Amino acid sequence: MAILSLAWLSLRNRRFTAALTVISIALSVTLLIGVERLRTEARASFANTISGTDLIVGARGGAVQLLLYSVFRIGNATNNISWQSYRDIAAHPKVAWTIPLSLGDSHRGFRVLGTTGDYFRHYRYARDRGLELAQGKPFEDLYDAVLGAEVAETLGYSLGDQIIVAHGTGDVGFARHEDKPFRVVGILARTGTPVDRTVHVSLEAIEAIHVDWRSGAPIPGLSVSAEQARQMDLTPKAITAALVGLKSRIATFQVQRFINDYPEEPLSAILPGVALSELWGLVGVAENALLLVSAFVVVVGLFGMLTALLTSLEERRREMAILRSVGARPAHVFALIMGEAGFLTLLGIALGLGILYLLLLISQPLIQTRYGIFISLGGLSGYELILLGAVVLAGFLVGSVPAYRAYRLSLADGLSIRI
Amino acid sequence: MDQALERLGSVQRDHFRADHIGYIFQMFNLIPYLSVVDNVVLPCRFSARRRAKALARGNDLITEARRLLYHLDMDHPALHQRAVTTLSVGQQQRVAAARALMGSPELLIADEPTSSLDADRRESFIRLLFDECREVGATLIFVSHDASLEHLFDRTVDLAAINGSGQGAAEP
Amino acid sequence: MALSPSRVLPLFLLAMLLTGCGDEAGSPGSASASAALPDGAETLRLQEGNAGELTAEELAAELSERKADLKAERTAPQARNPSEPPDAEPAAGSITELDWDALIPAEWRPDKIMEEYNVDELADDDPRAQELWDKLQALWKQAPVVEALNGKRVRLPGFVVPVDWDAEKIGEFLLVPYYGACIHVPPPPVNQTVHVIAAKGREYSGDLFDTVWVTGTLKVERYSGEMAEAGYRLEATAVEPYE
Repeated sequence: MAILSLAWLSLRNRRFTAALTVISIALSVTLLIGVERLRTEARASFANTISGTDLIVGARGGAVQLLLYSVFRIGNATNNISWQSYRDIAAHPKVAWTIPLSLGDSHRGFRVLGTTGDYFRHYRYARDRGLELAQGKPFEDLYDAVLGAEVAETLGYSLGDQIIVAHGTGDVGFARHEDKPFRVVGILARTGTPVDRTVHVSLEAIEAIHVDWRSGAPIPGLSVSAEQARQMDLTPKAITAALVGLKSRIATFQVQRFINDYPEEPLSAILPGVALSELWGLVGVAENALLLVSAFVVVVGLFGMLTALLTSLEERRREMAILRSVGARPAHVFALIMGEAGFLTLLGIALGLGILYLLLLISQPLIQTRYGIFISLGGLSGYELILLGAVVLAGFLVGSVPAYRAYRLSLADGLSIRI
Repeated sequence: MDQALERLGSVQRDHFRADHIGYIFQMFNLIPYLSVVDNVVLPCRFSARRRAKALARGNDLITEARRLLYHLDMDHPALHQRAVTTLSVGQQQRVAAARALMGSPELLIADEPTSSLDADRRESFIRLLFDECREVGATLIFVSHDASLEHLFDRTVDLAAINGSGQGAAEP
Repeated sequence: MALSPSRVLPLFLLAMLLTGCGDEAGSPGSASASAALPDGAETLRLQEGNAGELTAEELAAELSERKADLKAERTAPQARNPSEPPDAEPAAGSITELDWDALIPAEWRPDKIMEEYNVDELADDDPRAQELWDKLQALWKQAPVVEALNGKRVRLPGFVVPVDWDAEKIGEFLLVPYYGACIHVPPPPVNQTVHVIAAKGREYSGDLFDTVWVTGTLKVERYSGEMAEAGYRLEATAVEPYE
């Protein structure tokens, strides 16, 4: 097509201005697709974190909050649930299994979770995958610890290493349980969930390290050594939350009601699916706002193209007259400018995608480590293609403005010389 | 060629111009972002008839363009690769002439093509133009203010004479 | 159109009460039902309230509205009385559209209990009224299932409560007749909850509390040996949005 090659050569002739326009469109496309990609990947990460658990039980409070601290290790519980309540729930005829969770300690920035062997047996994620040990075995001895993949990798631990657990989520000298070190006996395979960033110990171990911390701080002169703690009764008094699996999902609402109505203690039982949907509802507003902002940035980028093309028209009136003298019709002139707009947009999109994938490649491991979200480097999803299609359409729409102006000018000028 | 042009619509007039007429302007004839050869080949992109006629000589378009340039004394390979904006005015006018002749149009309209050329170049340019027009059998309409060129042409028409309308009768 | 959850249970139970009332008082001008429900008929019939309370009438009127809506959707009600072989059996392979009442067996007859109490003469603060209420609630909890529906191909509307999901789709969910997991109202009983398992490749792309039509084979599933408890499971072949 003659006009398209003319359009291409024309752009190449003005390559500096054209490059600036292409870059501005490219950056806006990177932002648009990047935001969309991050959004879907974050959702997928969250959705894949837990599966197969019918109820999550915690102290009475918000559903989303309970989901966040028990499964995602974000935030903290406001209260605990007593051991007796937990036993009563576990004994309910419709309950198949339970996993008790005890949170509140940390190790060098990673959360420490007290739980039982049931965790390794029953926890599922990503539809139906169970936890696997890359090395070692689950805890047996009181002071055994099993590390998530991220913990082991970031801190460079291997089997047999000793670790000290700190109280609370800040790891400072005066809050550490230094007298009761733990030994790494297992490292879990990578899951892409917050499990990777957790240090797992037994419930009894959590009791043991807090045995002389009754009032929230170590009582001076009243310390209990690690060996002494072994001799004591380490049945937990309270846990933070519990994951519950039922014999039949049909009974879900009945057991939920039983727990919510439990007279001995104020408890909440949530369905993880319901809480997750509520979480999406909360962030949905922010997501939409972000997408809207990115769309505006694309519009700004296209306006840059509009400016560039329009200002070039004045200089090109001679060129249009020459083309008309050689036999081009005004429609050809229109098509020429549209072709230039089309090339600029398509080049902008291509460059934008290139920049995006480059950025994703660089930042993927960082995001995984810091936030536990795995961003896939796969091809464009259907929705992303639609967004790009909208950008192309917008580009042509914007291009039609200078194209029409050129059309009118060439009609008015005819073949006269206008320098 | 016997059409009453005033009765054609604008699109048809564009077609007619593309098919049958070659133009040479006084200056700035060339598309700055196209090479010499690409400039010459332009009419064939907008007229299938001229394209066919150019190809009928047995070569592809580029070879045909080069042939014309050669006749107009512009066929140096070094020249072909240069950006058209770096050529001298005389060279540019000759490229324009080649473009106008490409595909053998029946009519060539030249609007003061030699005004920006120096005196010694003028005649040689016109000679070259004549030769080419004779070869393709095209009619050349040459607009000029330079009376010294008049003797070269078969027919002369005074613009004031044909511009009689609205001005009262003009002196021929 | 779903009534708010805070109304359904009292409405339902009140309607049972009213059934009892209506029979005994024989109120004039009421589109009444007999206490003995005819076989194969609906579980509920409505009374123009004659319990003497304004609120009861309003409630009853609303319930009748809801019944009329559901009636419009229902095609052939399945035989709810297991002792009677289903007549008008649809051709094998055809799909029956159900409404939620069809999942409650006809022989669950709270009105029998109400016959024991002289409901008319019960004042609100009579301890026997509380007893009645408790008994009705216990029955509600027991929630027996309709065996005859086992293996039937059905189509049922409801709200989605996801139970198994991944990033894009919901593979298993609970289908419930009303939503709003409010603290103030008991959850739907076991025979008003259907555990839906979507066929592979036909999972549902949607959100919590979407309104859908689910088509598939209904199964009665025993899940707790000791108390002979059973519930409904639906192997879905299609999950479509509800228009």
